[in-house]
Amino acid sequence: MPEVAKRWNGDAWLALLLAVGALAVNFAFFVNPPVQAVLPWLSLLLAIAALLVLVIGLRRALLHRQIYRGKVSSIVLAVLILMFASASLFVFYHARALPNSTAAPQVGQPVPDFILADTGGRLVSLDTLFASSPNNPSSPAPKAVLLIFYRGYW
Amino acid sequence: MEKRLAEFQAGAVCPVAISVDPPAVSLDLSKKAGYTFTILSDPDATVIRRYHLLHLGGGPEGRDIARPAEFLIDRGKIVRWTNFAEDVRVRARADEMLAAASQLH
Repeated sequence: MPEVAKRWNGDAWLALLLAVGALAVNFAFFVNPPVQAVLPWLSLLLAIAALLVLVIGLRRALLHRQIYRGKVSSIVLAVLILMFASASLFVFYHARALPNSTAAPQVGQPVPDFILADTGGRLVSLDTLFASSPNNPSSPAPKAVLLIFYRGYW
Repeated sequence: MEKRLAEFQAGAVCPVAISVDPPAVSLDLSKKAGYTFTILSDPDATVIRRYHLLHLGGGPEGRDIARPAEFLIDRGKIVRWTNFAEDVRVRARADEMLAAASQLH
């Protein structure tokens, strides 16, 4: 009897491990690894695997209710797994819900100029940026400007 | 970006970050993170709109922000390389940007 009960718990714990892994993958982005483009898919895969293993575990528990033990713990684990896996799926969806921006400047096209304030309140344009490095006036004029648009609200 | 800044400067590339954050917020960020590259503020997203990079309601409380994107611009103000993030978690590779910059004269 305890062995059978253990087996169900094994499924639930494995599913929990996968669900935690799916969430944990998100922290790997902070170390900026070279493989980061595959991390979203790894997280998705782990979340789906967690749900599948959970379904298998729940099916077993429900079909052999009289044999299996640890009802309360399995329910608690199932709730946790559902929370973690759905959080991973939610993040996966929202992180990728970006506009196509097909009208944005493409390679070979000219970019619109601009005048914007820097952190010191100085007005900066593309011409200013190309004239000198704003933070290092002694260095030679740059041959390229790398515009990095980011979301803000950090 | 800051870690590789010396490589960008050695390659005569001037990195510039742009977001809707006001200058005070960006100043705070660069102080805390120790950033020394230029950060520009586009609080009403005028330039972000002009570059067709607006993420409508993408920010907190439905505020409009920029979608993450990078452009390498040459002296003729022509785009030489771009990156449009497909996932906000996945950043552009510094190696890729440096390689693109090394093609320029």
